[in-house]
Amino acid sequence: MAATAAMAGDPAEGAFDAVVIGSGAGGGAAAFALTRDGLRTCVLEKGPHHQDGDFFHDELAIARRSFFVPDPFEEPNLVARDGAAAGPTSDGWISCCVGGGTVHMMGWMFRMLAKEMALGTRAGARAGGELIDWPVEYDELARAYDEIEDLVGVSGDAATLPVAQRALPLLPIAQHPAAGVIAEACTRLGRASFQPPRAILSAAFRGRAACHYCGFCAGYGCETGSKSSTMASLLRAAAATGKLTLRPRALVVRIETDASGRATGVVWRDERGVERRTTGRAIVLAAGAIQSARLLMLSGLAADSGHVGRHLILGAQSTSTGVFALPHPAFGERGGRRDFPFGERTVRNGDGTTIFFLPTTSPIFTAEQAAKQGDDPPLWGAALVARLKEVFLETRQIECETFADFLPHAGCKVELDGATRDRHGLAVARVTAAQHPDTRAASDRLAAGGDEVLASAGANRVEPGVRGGYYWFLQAGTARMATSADGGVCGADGQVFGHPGLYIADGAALPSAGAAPFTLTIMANALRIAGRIALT
Amino acid sequence: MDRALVDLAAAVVRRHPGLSRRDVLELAAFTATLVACRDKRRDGGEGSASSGGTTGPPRGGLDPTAYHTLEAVTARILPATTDFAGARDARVITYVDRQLAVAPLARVTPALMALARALDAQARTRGAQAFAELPVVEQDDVLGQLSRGTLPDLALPQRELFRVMHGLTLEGFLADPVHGGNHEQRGWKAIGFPEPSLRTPGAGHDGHGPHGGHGGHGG
Repeated sequence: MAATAAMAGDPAEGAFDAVVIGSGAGGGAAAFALTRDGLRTCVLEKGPHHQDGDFFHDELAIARRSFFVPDPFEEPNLVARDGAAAGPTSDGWISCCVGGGTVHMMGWMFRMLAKEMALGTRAGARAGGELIDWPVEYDELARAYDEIEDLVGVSGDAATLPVAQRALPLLPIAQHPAAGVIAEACTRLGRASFQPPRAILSAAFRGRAACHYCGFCAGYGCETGSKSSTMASLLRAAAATGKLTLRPRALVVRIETDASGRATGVVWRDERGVERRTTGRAIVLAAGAIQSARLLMLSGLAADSGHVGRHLILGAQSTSTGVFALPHPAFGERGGRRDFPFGERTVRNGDGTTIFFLPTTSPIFTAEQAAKQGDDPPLWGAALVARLKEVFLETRQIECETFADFLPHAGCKVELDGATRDRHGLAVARVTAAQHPDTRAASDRLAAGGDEVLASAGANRVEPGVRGGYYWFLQAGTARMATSADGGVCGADGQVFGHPGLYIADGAALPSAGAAPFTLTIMANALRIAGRIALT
Repeated sequence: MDRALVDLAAAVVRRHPGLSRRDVLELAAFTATLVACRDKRRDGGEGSASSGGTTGPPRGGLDPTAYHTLEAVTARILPATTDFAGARDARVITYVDRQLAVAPLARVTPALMALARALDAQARTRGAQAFAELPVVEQDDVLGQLSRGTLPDLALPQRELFRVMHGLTLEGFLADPVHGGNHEQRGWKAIGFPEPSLRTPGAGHDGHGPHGGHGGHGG
């Protein structure tokens, strides 16, 4: 337990203009905007501050243990999925380190569509007030998209994208011939396809090195800073202003307010468990939608709104694998060619986004997936050996993942678990995850469409993977923006109703997140919100 | 990122309580000392070259009995064929033993030791002294039952423990040899996976492995 007898002040002298909780997509973008505008800003990050040189290509150490997320023995989330009993898990954590989930992200950067920001209008009263419009005009968000793409470095060809936008700052990253195989199949089926924009530098950019195509990308941190994490991009720019104080390994346990409800500061624990208080005129919450909701609840804030922790949005996932026998014109001979790790193509239709890509460089994960047989025991013995030979030596695979619009509904939410405490003595988050029937239906249609493309591309076999699943790194909605306190937790400016000076700047603020990965939207919205704080 | 094995271990420990947090920290400190002593002779990453095979089990998380029993389990989960190294060739048990001495998986060690004793008890009902001494056909029969949760008179989460051993076997086969398994990169060679660039931290951009990894520098 932490020492509580004597509360130490912040080691830095005086109060800050702004205190940001979290340093991922939202916190990193907020810190950038605040320091750019001249505000003395303190960022409190629960996890460590890795340097580029800390990242290396060890799947076990980096991707499968506690390099990025806490162990479920020590700091579990209790997750109840689709009606099952709640159990302790790592699911629901986004990377705890400077840069957050953007450090190990895949980095697909999509803009929301205007119609996706108007869920309330589209759905009407159908969902009992769960679905609302963004209280923000699309043009305003579009300007933030323009700005953030240029700040962090996104590679792609804007002319090929389904929605008109200005040019991206970097040319598309180089592609494996597999991308062409998918593109041709899409053309045959009459479906428009494009290479997804990606937050990976195709050329040197703003003092950062170009990608060297090592292949250890999704699930890993980039040792050359060529992946556009907020750590490599926005937080470095923020530090260069001289206005940033970055405190890693600082666990915020409470947000404080005065008698009028105004936010005044935060209480956090340093590595040794000593509690400290840091004050600021603006407190910006960006711990990820699940942990931000938890912190609001631990602090007893905005409880009257009835909206904290509700309207949880996750990524709506389905996956399939297309299996292509070797030798193959695109993949080469037995064992396959391994140059060009990226081979990607996207289809976007009314149901959402489908992305085809080459498997990530994670042999343990690939083997584990290959051995899976649903609820039956995994393959073992001679059958496992035969399967591993097939997967790694005799075939190559193209993965398909789909993203449907995740409609918030009453059965998907975050609460505090009264009975379970983490190693810090804090009540843990209990997450109830379920999909709206319309989301599930759209997800299944996307999966079927993806399977058709893989088959048309000449896959010898299409193996269905996940159906009705969740991307846990994509979280939103739990402290959403609304036009009034009737509909959400904060206003269009991100400021929490009833708690002036407290802002929401991560996925939690999004009333809807669209039918595509929404990391770029979190960044853009945080930039938009934090960019107004200096004006108040 | 894939945390399935750690999450599975947490589910097992919930049903079969393991070590306390303090136990794990003490065990981790003890193991770190051992590993440091062993690693003084490390020659650049092939982890357990001098341990595990000829000098008997290293002192990781398992007692000697469980070590030998679970070694046989890994060898049946991933057997060798004429052109494919198996878990035994890759010294997967060295990896398993080390993992079971440190967080987070040390918490599941008591459950796996109990499993090992239960497998030996099964072997005795079949006329052998221990699981590892059963004919492989019978080992497979026992493991098949375990995997389906149908071993008689065994109050352990059988299916989950089988999955934990399965996951550990794949990790020990394909994780970097620095962790104790994948001896002489036999797992990587079996699946045609080239030695990764940048196997250790701090080597920087120029620290690519001897084969240059599989980067595609414009090639």
